[in-house]
Amino acid sequence: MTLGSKVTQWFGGYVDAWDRFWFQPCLPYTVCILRLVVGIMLLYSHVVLAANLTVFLGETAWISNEAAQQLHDGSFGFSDWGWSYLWMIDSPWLLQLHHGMTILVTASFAVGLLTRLTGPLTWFLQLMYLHRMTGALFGFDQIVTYTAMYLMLAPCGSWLSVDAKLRKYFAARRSESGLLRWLLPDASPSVGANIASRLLQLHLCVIYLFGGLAKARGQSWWDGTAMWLSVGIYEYQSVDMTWLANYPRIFTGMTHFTLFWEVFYCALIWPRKTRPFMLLGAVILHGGIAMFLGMITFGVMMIAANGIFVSPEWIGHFWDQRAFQEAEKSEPAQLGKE
Amino acid sequence: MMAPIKPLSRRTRLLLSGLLLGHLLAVVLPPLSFQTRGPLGTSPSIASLFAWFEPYSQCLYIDRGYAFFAPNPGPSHLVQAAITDSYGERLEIMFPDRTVQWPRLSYHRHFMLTEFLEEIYQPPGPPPELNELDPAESQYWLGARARYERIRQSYIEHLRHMYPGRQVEVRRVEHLIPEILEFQQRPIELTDDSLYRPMLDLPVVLEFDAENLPAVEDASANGRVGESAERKFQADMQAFRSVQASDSESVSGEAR
Repeated sequence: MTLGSKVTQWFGGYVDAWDRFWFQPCLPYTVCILRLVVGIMLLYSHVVLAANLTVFLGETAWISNEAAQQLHDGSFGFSDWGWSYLWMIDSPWLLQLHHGMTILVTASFAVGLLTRLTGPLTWFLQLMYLHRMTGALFGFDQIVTYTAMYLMLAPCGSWLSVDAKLRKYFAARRSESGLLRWLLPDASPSVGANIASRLLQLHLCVIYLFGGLAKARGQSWWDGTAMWLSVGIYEYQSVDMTWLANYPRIFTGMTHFTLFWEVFYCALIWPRKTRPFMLLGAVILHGGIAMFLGMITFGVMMIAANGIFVSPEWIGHFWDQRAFQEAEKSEPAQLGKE
Repeated sequence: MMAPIKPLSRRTRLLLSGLLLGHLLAVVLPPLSFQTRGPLGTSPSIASLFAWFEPYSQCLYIDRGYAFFAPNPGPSHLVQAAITDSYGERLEIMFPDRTVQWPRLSYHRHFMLTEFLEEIYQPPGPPPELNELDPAESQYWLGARARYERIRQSYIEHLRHMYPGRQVEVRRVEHLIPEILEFQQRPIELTDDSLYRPMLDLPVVLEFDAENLPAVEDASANGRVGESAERKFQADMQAFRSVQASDSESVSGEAR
């Protein structure tokens, strides 16, 4: 074998691996469950906002429309590409009307009604709220928006959804209409489900890697006191954990676990042997944040996002054996098994 | 029966690969740019690369640093408002307040707003010397200060809307975390008065601080870091007390 053909073979191996990683069709069960969780979390966020709408949006909000726009448009010498039409809506009744529509669209996405349309719309509306509500956002807003963004690339309404019911109802017409087949996709393996899953998986790896590296620059994450400092912030506290001060071995152990788990997540979440432990770590870490540091929405959403590493085949076996077997019979060679 | 899957053509895969790579770069570069920032600015290689992806990242709100509780979990920053009616009766409220803002998500958004005011805080200035030394930095200072004042004014206007006809003044307050060793010896409530410290809005003076320099050297040599920190804290408190003497001056200084 010549050197040229060896290089071609070596390079070809990488191309094949790349293709398998991104373009191998996979079942949509994981993304469908995630749609349900993201939809409910977004819906909750919008309903809570509805009770305080003019506190966060409009001309009399904490950060007024004009001030919110100025944060982005270069009025103070620095600008960015964030933009929202909500900067221009002053009228409280128009804001309420818009918000009502947003809740309706998000609820439709959550229950999986016309998900091909409500998915992108839910994400877009959420993005408009984010660029309007600069200053009032936190990690929850980030992860819920990213997950919604990736889910719209997948047939995430094909299972556990109203779309699945509609698909059965319109079965005869669907077989003749390409538009209906696109609008009401079946729960079969698809490249879209795989791409959406991979993008969210990689995005999570980036979040944890840089979250860990940023912590590694701080002394308290090395001497172990960071966990004490975290539970010592009254504004985050939902359960008083200051008793931990008397147990330095426990709180320093928790600190070291957090740092190392975050830094090594991007490597250890991929091998099947270490994945369950990393997922268990995610449940412990984010469960703790949800229960003790007052960020229930953030904790729940991060645990749900980590669910993207749960194989759809496993969910199929666990949850809907019959649907899984049906899919396996129809497409035995393309189930995305590695 | 489910529809058979058509494999993607090579051209489609190539196009999709390009888009995916571009998106992944837009995901990775913002936190990388954040972490490679130092006293000299962002690393030029990262900054040049990120410049290509910045608009896309910002549009999609993926331009985040992900530095949660990093590099160290620190004190929280609150906003205290003094609301005075025409009879001179004064109401003082602190934001966020979990007994008022409910559910927790709403409380947390209020908390983020008060942290945001701290995040964008820029002292009055710039010092006249800076304009000569670095006009660009001086210009940046002016912009950052204008941004802080604009947002603080927006908070005041919101409170005026909530309490019509009343005078509103606001100031930032830092809520400290108890030192672990002190807390082990003498536990206190996290809401103890001693842990709240009003934050002054004073100009920065660009002067060589000869008095502090030996203390810093001593600190590295003898580990007496506490001394200079304590002296600085005492100086801050003295400055605060002298401003407090004229009572509302310190508050209205923030509220103006």
